[in-house]
Amino acid sequence: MNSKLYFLLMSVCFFFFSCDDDDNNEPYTPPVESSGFYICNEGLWGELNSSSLSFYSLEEEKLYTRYFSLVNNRALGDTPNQLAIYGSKMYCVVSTPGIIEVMEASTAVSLKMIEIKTSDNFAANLRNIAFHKNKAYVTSFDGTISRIDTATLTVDAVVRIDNVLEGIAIANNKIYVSGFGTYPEYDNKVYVIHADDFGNTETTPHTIQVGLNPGKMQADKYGNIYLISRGNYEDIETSFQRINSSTDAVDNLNINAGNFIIHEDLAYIYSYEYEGEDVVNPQVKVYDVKNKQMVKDQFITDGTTLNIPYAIAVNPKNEYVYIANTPGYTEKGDILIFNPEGKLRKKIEDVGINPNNIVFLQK
Amino acid sequence: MPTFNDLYYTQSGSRDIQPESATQYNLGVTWNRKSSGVLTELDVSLDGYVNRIKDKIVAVPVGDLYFWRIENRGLIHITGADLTLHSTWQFHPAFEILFSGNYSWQKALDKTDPESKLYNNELPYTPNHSGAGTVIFRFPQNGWSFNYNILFSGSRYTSNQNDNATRLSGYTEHSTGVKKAFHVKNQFCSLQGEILNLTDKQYFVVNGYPMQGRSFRITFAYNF
Repeated sequence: MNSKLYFLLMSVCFFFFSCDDDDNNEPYTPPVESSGFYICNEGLWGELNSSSLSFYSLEEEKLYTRYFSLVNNRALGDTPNQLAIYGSKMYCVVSTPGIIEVMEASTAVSLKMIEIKTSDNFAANLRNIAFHKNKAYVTSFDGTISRIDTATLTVDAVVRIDNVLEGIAIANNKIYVSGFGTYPEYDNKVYVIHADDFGNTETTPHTIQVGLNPGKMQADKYGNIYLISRGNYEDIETSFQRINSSTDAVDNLNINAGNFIIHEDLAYIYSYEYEGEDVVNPQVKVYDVKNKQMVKDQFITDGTTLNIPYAIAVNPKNEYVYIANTPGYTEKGDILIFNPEGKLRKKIEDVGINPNNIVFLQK
Repeated sequence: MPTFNDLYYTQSGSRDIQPESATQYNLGVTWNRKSSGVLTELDVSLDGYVNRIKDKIVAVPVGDLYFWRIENRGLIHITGADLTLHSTWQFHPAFEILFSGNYSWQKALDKTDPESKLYNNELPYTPNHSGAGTVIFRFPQNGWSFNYNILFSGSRYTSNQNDNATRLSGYTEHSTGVKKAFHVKNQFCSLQGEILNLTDKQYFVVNGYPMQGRSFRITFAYNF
């Protein structure tokens, strides 16, 4: 009995030595020459590697998650804030490491990582990007706007502003950037810089006063810039405003707005309210930017409910509206695809955590 | 009960944190044997448990170890078993071996909302398998002893919605040491040298925070 017991106890000992886990990743090959759309997933702040880039192939009707890692064999970086295609390249502004990941748009193969540092050599918290005449302009929380030449992919000019910068839009050869200060003293400014004068340290940017805590901005094709001012999350509500880039006059449109996308003549806007910590009453509306009027108070016509909308985009090929919906910030979101009449046509589930940008790739 | 930190600490605390309430079922068996033979003492115990926890307070590290999210996570079902063993082997009056170990198996599942994507997902940072073992070779007559320890944990998810892409691998850490007990002016002293993480295993307990690799430690103790 004793020798059997020795053996049993020794084998328990060896069991500990042998146990070590290794993840099993099934390899798959990325699609070749496919049209579809990329989804930029913000992930969770602080939860490392929860961000990702996904790609949905319309030809194969297949979702590829962690697409950037699949193609480039490394992680994208935490908190990718914006994704955009300009020419043949795709740019991803990754906030936490302070880089702009430049990829070949058709394959997501990384071409270059542009690193931007603050004046005291920390990674700049990069936010949004806009393009104009072969240059890209990137805003940062540390108050800089970096201009990148899209051919050489290097920073060739920098403007420094004493504010926390977020949104950017370009109209009438002028660059408009929103500065929102910090909690609890939010600011309400939009800075205007002439594109030909960018980087000139002699001139100070002209400022326009807008709503409190201005964020996202986008220009339409009629020389107007639309922006969302987020208020103070307490008594001051969000506002949706328009800046006329000829006069720099600001119009308040009195529409509750969380985020929007302008495609041709229409701006698709989603909004929601807070009840305590819960997001309630998500709505999608449509505003005509050519005729300057609300055309649809309720875009969704088939009763589809949203949880928390996180991104909105319009497929330029067929005008279908794509809405990223998340059930809660720690779970993976889905993409809901609506036809122009507001009926849900398709749902793509579990694209990634907090999908914040949808970008279409035409073959 | 939520602690003051759970309730009031800046950013991570929330006044809305409720106390947890749990229903627990536990079944265990203990076996103890003493003998005058080589195996002078043996203790083995096996426990199984099932816990149903409502409003479980869970802290999840959010990257910066100063910042943990505190949440009441609704309904959690935990099933588990613990096995522990202590034994003393006396081969010779001048030489004995102490061997002890423990092994735990647990499965902590989110059962809050069947409609939710989180239903039946494992709670982050709850490994299925974990355990530790120690072997000490002692020479009581001349004060020398030599020990070998291992600590192990299986893989665990780091996100609420379990994702293999962000799962942390399991690890085993081995450590070893030598100790000499002696007397200085009739007071008991000891000098111990240890090698921690003998195999230089690179691992994380919290994602993004690597644990120390192979390291050395010398300890001197003086009792008075």
